[in-house]
Amino acid sequence: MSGLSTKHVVLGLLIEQPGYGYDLLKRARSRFGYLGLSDNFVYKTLERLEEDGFIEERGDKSTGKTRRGAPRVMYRATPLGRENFKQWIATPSERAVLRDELQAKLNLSEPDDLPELLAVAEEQGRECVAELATLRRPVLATVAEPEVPWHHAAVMMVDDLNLRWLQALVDWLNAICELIEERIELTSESAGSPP
Amino acid sequence: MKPLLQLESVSKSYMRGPRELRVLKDVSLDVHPGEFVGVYGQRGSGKTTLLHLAAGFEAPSSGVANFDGRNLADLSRSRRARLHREEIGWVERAGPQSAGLPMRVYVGLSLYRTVGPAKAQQRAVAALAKVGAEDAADARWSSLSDTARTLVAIAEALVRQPRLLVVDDPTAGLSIIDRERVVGLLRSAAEDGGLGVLMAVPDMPAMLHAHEVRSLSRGRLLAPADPPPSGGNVVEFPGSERSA
Repeated sequence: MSGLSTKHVVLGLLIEQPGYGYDLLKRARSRFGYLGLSDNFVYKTLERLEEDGFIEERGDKSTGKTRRGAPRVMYRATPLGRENFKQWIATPSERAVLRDELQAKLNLSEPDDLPELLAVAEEQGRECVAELATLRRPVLATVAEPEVPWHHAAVMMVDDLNLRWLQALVDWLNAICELIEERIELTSESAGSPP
Repeated sequence: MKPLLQLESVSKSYMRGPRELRVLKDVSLDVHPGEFVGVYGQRGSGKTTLLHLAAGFEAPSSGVANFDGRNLADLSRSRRARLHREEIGWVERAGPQSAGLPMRVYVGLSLYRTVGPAKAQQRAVAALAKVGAEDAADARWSSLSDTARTLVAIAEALVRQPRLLVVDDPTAGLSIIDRERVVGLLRSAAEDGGLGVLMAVPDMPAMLHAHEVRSLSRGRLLAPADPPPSGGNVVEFPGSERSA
């Protein structure tokens, strides 16, 4: 995982709307599915946030019970938490690192692995294009319009990043396929001709 | 439904000196009426050659390009010319041969012979209005922005009420907002006008508006991907109904 602060993910979700553990986990998963969040993570994070004084239990216990019958604990952000969140928004962001398995394969491969690498890279290109067909169709032109809910606008911009990332990957795959193919061809030519 | 355009294992080679350059390799592709097909490819991937074969400007070295069930290569030159006047609209940002024409004249030019100048210009103005480029009616090509040029080129193709639009890189140099406007226009030409639309672009964000997405790489068109699970992953955000 990149240096993304999961603490601030949970804090941000609570600022949006108070909630209890399981509800936060569901919301976190639907918005940040790509983080691969474990079941435990929300509960641990809630504990830490409470220790820091960034969130607090909401007094009322009228929000039902957990399946085991324990009272469900509703959390909300404290003024200190809101302040801390604001600071986080303004802090320079860590950039994600692309960790593609193919990079490692390329790095470790030998010349006689080239045909297999080519096939794998081609297949990955196909998968990327298949993925393209499943993406949402954002209308970025509406992002600037104040009447469009900001959360919708934000999701569209994140989708746009994922799309551009996909494009960069496809372009790279196409480029390396071309080069590997050329190399295979030239290698077989020079092997076939008399010295 | 029968495909409007059907490319069956088309290949295209050119001789570059002594070496044969294979630009397209065994490409198959269908475009149905009302369908917007996008082909993604970088420069040199064979996009423009693919579009030339689809529009019947060039014949494939092997394979068949059918338009409405007829092999384009079998048609006489005059029949093909008529096809380009009436049924296949080619969209590129080339502009008129003579720089002095106002766009109401340029866009209507192909209709002059059949309906006369007055009616032709009237239809041209209507076509310009339909794509949201009414302001360009009295302008000259040289004074138009890239966006306006693209819109005019689309109007010039649409005014003839073609059945197939073949569009080469309509979004080059456009801002995000204008890109969405142009691609949205092509999508509605397919959905509302029932046209088959084939577009090639080097940028993926433009592809999301197409119904069918393909990728061209090193002259090969990647096989159609498995359809997405529900086919319903397209989320319309509020405001997406905004007209161009």
